[in-house]
Amino acid sequence: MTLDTIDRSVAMLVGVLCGAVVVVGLGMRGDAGLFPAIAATLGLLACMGIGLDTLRSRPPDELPPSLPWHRFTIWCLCILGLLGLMVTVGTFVALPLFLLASLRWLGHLRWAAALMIAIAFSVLIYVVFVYLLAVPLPAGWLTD
Amino acid sequence: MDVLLPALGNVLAPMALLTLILGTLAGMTIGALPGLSSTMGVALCIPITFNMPPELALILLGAVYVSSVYGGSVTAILLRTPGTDASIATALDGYPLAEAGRGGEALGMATLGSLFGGLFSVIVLIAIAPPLSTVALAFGPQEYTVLAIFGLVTIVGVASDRPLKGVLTAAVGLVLAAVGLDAFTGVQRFTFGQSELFDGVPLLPVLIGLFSVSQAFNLCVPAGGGVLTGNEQKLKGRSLPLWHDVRRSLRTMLRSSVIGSVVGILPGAGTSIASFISYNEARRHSPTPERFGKGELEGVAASESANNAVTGGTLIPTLTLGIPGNAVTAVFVGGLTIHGLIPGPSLFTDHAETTYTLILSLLFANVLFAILGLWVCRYLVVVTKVPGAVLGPMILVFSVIGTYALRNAVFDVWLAIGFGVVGYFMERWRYPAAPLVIALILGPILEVNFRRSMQISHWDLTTFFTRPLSLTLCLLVVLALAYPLWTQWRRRKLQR
Repeated sequence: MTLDTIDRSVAMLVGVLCGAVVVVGLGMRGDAGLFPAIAATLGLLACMGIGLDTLRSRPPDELPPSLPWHRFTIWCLCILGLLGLMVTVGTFVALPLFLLASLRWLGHLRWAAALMIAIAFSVLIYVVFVYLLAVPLPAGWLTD
Repeated sequence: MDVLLPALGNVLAPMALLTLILGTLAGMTIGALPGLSSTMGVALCIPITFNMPPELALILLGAVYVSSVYGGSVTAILLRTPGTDASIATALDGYPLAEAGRGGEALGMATLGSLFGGLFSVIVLIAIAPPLSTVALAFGPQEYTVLAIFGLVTIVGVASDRPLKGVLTAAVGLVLAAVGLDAFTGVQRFTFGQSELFDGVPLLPVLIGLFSVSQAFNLCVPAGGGVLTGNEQKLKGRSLPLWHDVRRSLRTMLRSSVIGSVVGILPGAGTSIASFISYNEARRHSPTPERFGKGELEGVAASESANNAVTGGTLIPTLTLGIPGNAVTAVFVGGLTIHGLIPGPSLFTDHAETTYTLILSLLFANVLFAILGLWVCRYLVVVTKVPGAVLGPMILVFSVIGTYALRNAVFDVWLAIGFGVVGYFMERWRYPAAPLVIALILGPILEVNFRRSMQISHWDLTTFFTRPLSLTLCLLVVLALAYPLWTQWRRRKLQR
């Protein structure tokens, strides 16, 4: 997909959202919706401008760098796993598991090196946030 | 003076000095790592400062800010890989010097130039900020409305090569700024019933998402894992430039510091613009312009003095008027508000001691990074060997835990991750994030003051042109709008 095609799609999507904001904003009680309506109108105009700009004849459109979907998916799954595990089994189980998985599968470190870094960094986070800053991080089922 | 002495006492307290040293080292390391920006460094440090006293928090943020700009020069000189965009011009002469076995001299000159520029800008900050804050006390809603528009117009103009994309992201930022309970009528706006959004879209998770989480994506997703490819030059010979070279560069440092400070004050303009203007000026005034680009110490001095001079300059409108000029000062505003300090004239009246503590800490941070820099900078190159796919998960963990620590809310973490994904694709598709962030900060200022102006004037729009200060600011807005259009028209005319 070229940048022009992406810009056109973004302009259409954001344009529809801006249109919805204008409609909802103008229907609000008093002048509460005036400012969001003005801002969304500005967004709508910008979307129209971007859309028209992509239709102009120009030198060949460039391609954005290709997205490595495989790595992107692994990374997103790792993050979802981290957030899911943080609130269920607890932060200090989730953190080393997330680091171990991402360092092994994305950083291609050896298991031992990944494990060492994962544990060391989790201990650092514990010392900084729990011990020094007294932040009550989600403890999860294990500690409950 | 009655405020300066207690502020000096705050900075020289043992805990403050320790914070200053740690902040400087952290900033230098972040600056040296290519891809990690000053903005990201300051954003990541904000959650750490949450439980700190405001003075210590600002010392840490200030130290990270100024030293990260300097840190970028190390890799620019030794690897031709600028750690931050501020040091791109430094690489032009720094790397050829390192190739010629004069890397130590180049690093020494970069350190001295950064020190000169940094100290100059702090002196400008001390000289200009208090009187400007007195002027700001005369500002009414009309002036603040136009000032916020001025801030938005300038950031949109310079943030992207396609200004329409900047306008779109700024508009999205303004819409996001309107989310929450309306301050005038109490109406819920775009909250979708989420109680976490009643106070508006929280600023810090958005900042951490757009600048830190998206960076973790940038480091982890590419197949190469972000390993550097530059050829590292070994440091040989002297570690400091000759006095003769320093004396020769003094005028360049002074000129570049003035340019950097002025550029810093202007909203939207950044460190890279200042360093390129100064580099060009140094070449123009040099008796040997042909040596620039081939290993000229004066080129390194020009670029580094200018980019560090920007740091103090950018804080002038931020602290006195509450109008952040770029992304990093926008993050700084987040750091101030989390400690109950609202940027604006009140910082120099109600919180003068804390504000002067920040300003003096910048002075000390500049001296400290110069001292530490001469010893440590050559070892900083080691950190650039850490692959991106190893660094990325650590940045993400810091971002997630840091965001959670702000309000102990998992909702904020999801928000940061969401904005991280948005920020990652915005960068890929060349939509600038800075206008969105600045609009998110300026949105409430703009809305509240616009509605107040309208209430006072009974919906008479000429109210913005009948007050001298407001009219002056209106003219500045027109100038800010017209200048890019005029330069574009001139360029096209010349091309024809």
